[in-house]
Amino acid sequence: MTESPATVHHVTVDYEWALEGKPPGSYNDYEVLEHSGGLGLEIFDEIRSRYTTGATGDQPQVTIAFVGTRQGGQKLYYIVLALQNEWSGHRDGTNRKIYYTRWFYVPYDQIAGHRVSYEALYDAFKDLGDERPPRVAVRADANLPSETFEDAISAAGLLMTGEPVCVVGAEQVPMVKRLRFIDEVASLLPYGMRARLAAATWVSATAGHRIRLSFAPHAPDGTHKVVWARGAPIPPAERTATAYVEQLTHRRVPLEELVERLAQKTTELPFRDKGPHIALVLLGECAVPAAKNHAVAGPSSADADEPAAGGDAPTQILESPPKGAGQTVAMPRPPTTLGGLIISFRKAVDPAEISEGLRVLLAAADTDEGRRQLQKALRTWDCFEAVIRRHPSADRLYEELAEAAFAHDIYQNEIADELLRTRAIPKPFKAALRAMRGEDPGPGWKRMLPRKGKRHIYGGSALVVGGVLLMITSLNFFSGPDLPVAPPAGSAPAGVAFVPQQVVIQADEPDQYLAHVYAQLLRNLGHRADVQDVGPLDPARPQIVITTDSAPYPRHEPLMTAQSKSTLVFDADEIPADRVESVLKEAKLTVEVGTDFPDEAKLKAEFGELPLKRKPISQIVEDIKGGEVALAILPSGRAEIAPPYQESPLLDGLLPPRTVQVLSSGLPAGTEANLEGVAERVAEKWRTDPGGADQPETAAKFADSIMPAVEPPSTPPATPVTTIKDADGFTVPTGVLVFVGAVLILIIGVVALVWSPARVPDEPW
Amino acid sequence: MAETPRHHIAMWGAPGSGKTTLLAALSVALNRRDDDWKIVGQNPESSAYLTDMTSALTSGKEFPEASTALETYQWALIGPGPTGLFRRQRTSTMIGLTMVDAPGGHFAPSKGRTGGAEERQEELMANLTQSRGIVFLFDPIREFEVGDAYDHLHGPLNRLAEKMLEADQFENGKLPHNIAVCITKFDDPRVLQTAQKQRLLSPDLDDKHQFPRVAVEDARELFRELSRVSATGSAEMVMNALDKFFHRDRIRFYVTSSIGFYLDQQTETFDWNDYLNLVPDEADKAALRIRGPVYPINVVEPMLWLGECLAKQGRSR
Repeated sequence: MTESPATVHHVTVDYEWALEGKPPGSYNDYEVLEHSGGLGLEIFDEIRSRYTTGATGDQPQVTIAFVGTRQGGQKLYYIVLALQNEWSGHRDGTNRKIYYTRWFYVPYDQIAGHRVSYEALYDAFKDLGDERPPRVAVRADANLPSETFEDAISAAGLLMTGEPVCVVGAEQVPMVKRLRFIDEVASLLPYGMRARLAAATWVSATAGHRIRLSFAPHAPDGTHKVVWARGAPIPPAERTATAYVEQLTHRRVPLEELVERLAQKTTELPFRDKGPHIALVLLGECAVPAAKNHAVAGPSSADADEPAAGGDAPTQILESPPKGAGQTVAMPRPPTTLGGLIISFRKAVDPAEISEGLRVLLAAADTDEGRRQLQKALRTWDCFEAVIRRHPSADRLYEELAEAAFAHDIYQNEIADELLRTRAIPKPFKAALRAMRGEDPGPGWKRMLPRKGKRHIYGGSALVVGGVLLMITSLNFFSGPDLPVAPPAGSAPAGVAFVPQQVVIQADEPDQYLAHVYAQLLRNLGHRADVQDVGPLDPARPQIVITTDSAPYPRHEPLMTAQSKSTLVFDADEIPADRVESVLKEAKLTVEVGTDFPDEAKLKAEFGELPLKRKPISQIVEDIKGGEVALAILPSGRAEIAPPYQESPLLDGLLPPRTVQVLSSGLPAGTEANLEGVAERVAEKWRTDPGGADQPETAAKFADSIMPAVEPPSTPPATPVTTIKDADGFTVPTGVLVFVGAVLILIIGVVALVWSPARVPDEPW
Repeated sequence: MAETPRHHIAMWGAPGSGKTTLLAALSVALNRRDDDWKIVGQNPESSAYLTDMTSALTSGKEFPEASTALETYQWALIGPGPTGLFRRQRTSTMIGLTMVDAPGGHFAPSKGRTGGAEERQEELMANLTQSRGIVFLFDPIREFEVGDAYDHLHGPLNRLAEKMLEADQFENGKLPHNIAVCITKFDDPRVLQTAQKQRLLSPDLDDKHQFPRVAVEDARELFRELSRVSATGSAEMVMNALDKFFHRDRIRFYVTSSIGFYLDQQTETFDWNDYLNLVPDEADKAALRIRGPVYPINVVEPMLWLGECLAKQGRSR
């Protein structure tokens, strides 16, 4: 697959890991040599024993397993991936080669709903080696199959018997292709079955293993045999399996749609007991057109994809409407895309329709991508105020909406900030956002304070904060410079020490915003990063180059490619479309352009002294929303460009698309994977709003929002001495600034406490 | 073919003691014999193992990879029928064997009550309680260097006794198993020379290659002698533990080598000056390779003895 990183959606996941092997020269058997600190050794040891395949030799193999753990009272499933048979380069005490098995545990709930394939997990982990970043980016939205294969259908059906399935005749098939087959089979099952699926690209035929779907030279007794590329008959007595194959074969929706819907069925589902029966019912729901079954638009809770008890046949009856609606609502076939659901919801009129439409919409948006889309829609449509206000319980609906859109991403979210600032946004929605941010003080404790309590709190807080800062900086002064400090012995969890690397980032002037974004992303991944404005790059150093011409960097790896196109936007109420060119030539109206707009010279050459006004894109957008600007040049395709504003192709020839490439060299594989994982979001941000005057700050804020800083799991990296560069190039130690800040805060605190109440009017409660 | 009674035989020994190699050499060993005994797989995967291992040892001159899971092979030993003055000649004897090869780590003392150790113990006990024949491998080289044979015996043995007692399977105060104790790596000079110094070698007049051998009745003595050079001194307790838990007449010692001694293909006779069959690999100095053809010593005998014992006892396990 050769898709550019910018078009591939990734999901960044946490993981735990363990390394199985032997110390060189050991006389003992294989054991867990190292592991991460998130799970105990007993779990890693149990899982490696339970899912041993007996497959030996030097051919790489992959085993997939699962484990359910209880953490903080909650059950948490992991998908486990074992990369086997990597020769360590060492031999044991009896001269046998020592092979490593690398185990990776990915929280199931972080990949469920993203259609992450096993192959994508394998790709994310296969090259990590001993370098293990805290998170990795995993390719989401696995390719949807356009055709079915007899053996995959047979295997999926036979799994419904509850007995193991073994594929034979695939000795010559490459390992990755066998892994892909496991993905094909799994894609024909409800996604939740992955939380209970053990599969392997190779097992020993004579081994007593617990692998449910395997490849082997022979299928042992008690195992269903599927012949590679030839399928297998389903035993007639196996009624669930027969019915499952029947449903798959005679589905009434395209295969792509079926697989996409099955991927939404993310509740964990076993292969035993009632599991196959439930799977069959879920398949029945997915295999018929959605008009017969609108529940496939997405479950509203973790259990919502469980079918009703006792339902053998595919569900054909629409769900009951909410209480009080009074009658069954015959809904037309609902749209399958989130965009379609949004359009549909905006047309809802009566309360029942609004409730139901919102329920379906929120369920469908229950993915990272869906939430991002929903957030944008909230900004564009003023939180659907025009629709929701018609509902008698509008406040509750706003709370649900805010919760669904922002619960996972409430802090440092630019859209949430914007919504809070926008006057048109309904107050209950804003209140819900503030409550989620912990900003809602609640009436209780405020009223318990005296009327001047707030002033006391502010003053007291300032004194405490200032005092603490002063203490810290004083201690630093007395303890000398900020040298790296080793953690106390034994304090670091088991694992490999994470060594921060200094990465240099170089970009042309127009792409400084991107450079600062990448600098912050690298810092958040535990590296040190500097944006270098001039001078040649040292090829030996880890680096990122942001350029429009990749030719001088043939050995660099592409991290992101994005194309930005600017377009002319005009107010059609004010300027008729056929008059736009002449208005520009008259050069009387001011055209608002972004702060980084690079083509001013071209415009002036064409239109003489056309007055331009540089503003951050976000402000231009505000102006457009407020109808305060007649002409503007904006990145094309922005959602805010709505009537009466229109896009004009007039300047398309003058403002060619600009393609920028982000290239890297010398970065660890894990870091590259992480950066690739957020490439799409960075590209989107760069296309639509490439920063402003305060580039480093906004860039850092954006980078934090898409990839928050995560502390390395083991020994903390040495803290570098941070400095702030002033205009003349002098450096001021951070400690001095903090010291000065602390003194100022102390002064403010004292003033707040002693100032005459008459001069500090209390805000109304 | 009428269904043959099956006899479960479990391999028992520390990691690297030679369990898997001994099984791999079984087919070659039978083919080297001049009698009618042969081994046949009773399902495709068990047949494939015999073929693959024979090929690896003879053509590839490679040791098999150590087992990492509990491997189970269904084989049949087929040989001549019993003869006797008053016994009618039967066409053949067939002993169905279910051989179970557990990774040596399963027998290791656990470093803690981890879930993995529990899983492995349960798996092992299910196998051992089902078996009535055990091939216990004692690796004198490992014992000299590490000295942990007893560590790999007493823990599982106590658990086995506990399970068997619970199931009321003790016979006259002892476990009902037959146990073949195989002293492995007889081809190693340190083992061969110990046997020679103790005058425990006895010629086999029927052997055209004149390989040195230790007779079954002398093997126990060699075991005792080798136990004295144990790195930890605990090997002597192995013999005592075996005698305490198993009936004396159901224990038999064998001195074995899965690859045997090197044989000059011109003279076809064992040469005391050139018998090493395990030499450094020229391509990879860190590795060892099998130098010439393999002539397994006492590899078939323990299996036949166990098979015959179990067949006589009429246990179809």
